[in-house]
Amino acid sequence: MAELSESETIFIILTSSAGMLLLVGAIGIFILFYQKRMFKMRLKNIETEQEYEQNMIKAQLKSQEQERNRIGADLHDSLGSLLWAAKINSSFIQRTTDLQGEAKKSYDELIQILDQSIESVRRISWELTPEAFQHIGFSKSVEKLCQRFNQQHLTVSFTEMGTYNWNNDDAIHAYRIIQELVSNSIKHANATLLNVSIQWMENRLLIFVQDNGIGFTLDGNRTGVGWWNIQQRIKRLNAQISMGIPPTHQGSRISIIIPLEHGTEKNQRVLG
Amino acid sequence: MEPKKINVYLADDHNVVRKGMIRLLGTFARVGRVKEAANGKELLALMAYDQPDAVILDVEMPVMGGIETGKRIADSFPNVKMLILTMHTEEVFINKLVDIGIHGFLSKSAEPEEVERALYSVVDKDFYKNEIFDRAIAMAGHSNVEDKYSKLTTREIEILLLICQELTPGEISERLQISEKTFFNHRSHILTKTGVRNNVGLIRFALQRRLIAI
Repeated sequence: MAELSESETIFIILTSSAGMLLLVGAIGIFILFYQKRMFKMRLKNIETEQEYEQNMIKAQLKSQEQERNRIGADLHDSLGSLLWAAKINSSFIQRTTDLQGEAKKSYDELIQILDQSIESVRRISWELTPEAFQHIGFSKSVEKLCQRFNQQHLTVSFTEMGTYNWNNDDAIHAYRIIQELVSNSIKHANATLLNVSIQWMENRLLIFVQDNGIGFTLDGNRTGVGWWNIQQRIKRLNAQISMGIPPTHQGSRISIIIPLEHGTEKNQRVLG
Repeated sequence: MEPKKINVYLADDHNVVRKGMIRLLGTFARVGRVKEAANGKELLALMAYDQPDAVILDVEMPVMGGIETGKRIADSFPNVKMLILTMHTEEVFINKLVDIGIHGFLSKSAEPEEVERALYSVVDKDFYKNEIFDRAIAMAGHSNVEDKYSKLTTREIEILLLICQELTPGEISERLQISEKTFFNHRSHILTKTGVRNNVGLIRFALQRRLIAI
């Protein structure tokens, strides 16, 4: 093997180093481009996934609303009518027969049972589908909801700041969230005071549901159909929900912020 | 003098409700002939031959529901009084029925005594006023439109106020010393001027103009 001259050695080292550098550079650039592309693809994947999730939620909530409407209407029209038929037939017996003693007592109780059943049918179907939501809109429906839950041992109040006629699909979801929160509070919180307050801001709606009950643990692992339903609707509305303790240090306070789309809304906005 | 018997037709898609109602109506002193129909179309077919004094309508019926039936009866047989029997007592809904010309509203949980009272009231006074009606009217709110009201003559306003006091045509004629025919003339002028179909609409009109309070 012939000896290489010094200059030749230097030349070889230089060229091979330059070649190596070029290669490393090329690989580097390739990796950079590749990663950027991967990142873009991942972003797109996430977007499609989110879109898919939104569509799923949309479909789920829609079929849930339809199902509720169907059951509500069935209850009204079918069971309601049958109970009414039972009541008028009982009344006929009472009007044409001289009921005495236990028979009279039994009749009175029968009528009471029927009245309560009819009232229950009315209440349940109202909870399933708030009649006339499209006509009276979100605020009025929430106000009615509060009135309905008002009872002897629980005062449910409603306050509203500003006004806005809101009655589209999103409004139904917001209404359902409040309905769920209020009935949750009634069932579990052991509260005597409950307030639902809504505030119409420039481009968002603030909702506060506050009670003076036993509060809840903030473990973040809340389960149950009710809670799942709330979460789905929150996602659907791109809203934020947070839980806290009211300034009175007793009970719970749930705040919800719902962004309101403008321009796409056909509803007229009037700030009061 | 024994008042004339009231003939009643009823429409409901539930057979048990119809049978029960027929039995119950049979116990009411003033009720005469009762006929039944399973939906609005059947009822209108019955009415093509002869008309009752009053009809009792269910809202949700297949083929033709109570709202459409009510509209057609108001158009073709304006003298027939209409009672709606329903589970739906939302104010918006009741106001819509007032527009159509329904004379009275009963909840499907009413006491039989109320059904009897309502039936006599729509026949005698052209309307039946209960808390379902009052709530709906309160919701309809006040109106600032005064033009129709200002077109009424003093006599007409007087008659309107007496109608609102739930007096019968006979009682009003007696009080004003006019014949019943004159009363009905005045009333038809008032209806034309206010653009409502019957006394139910007149009461809502009077409330909205703050002529009376609930």
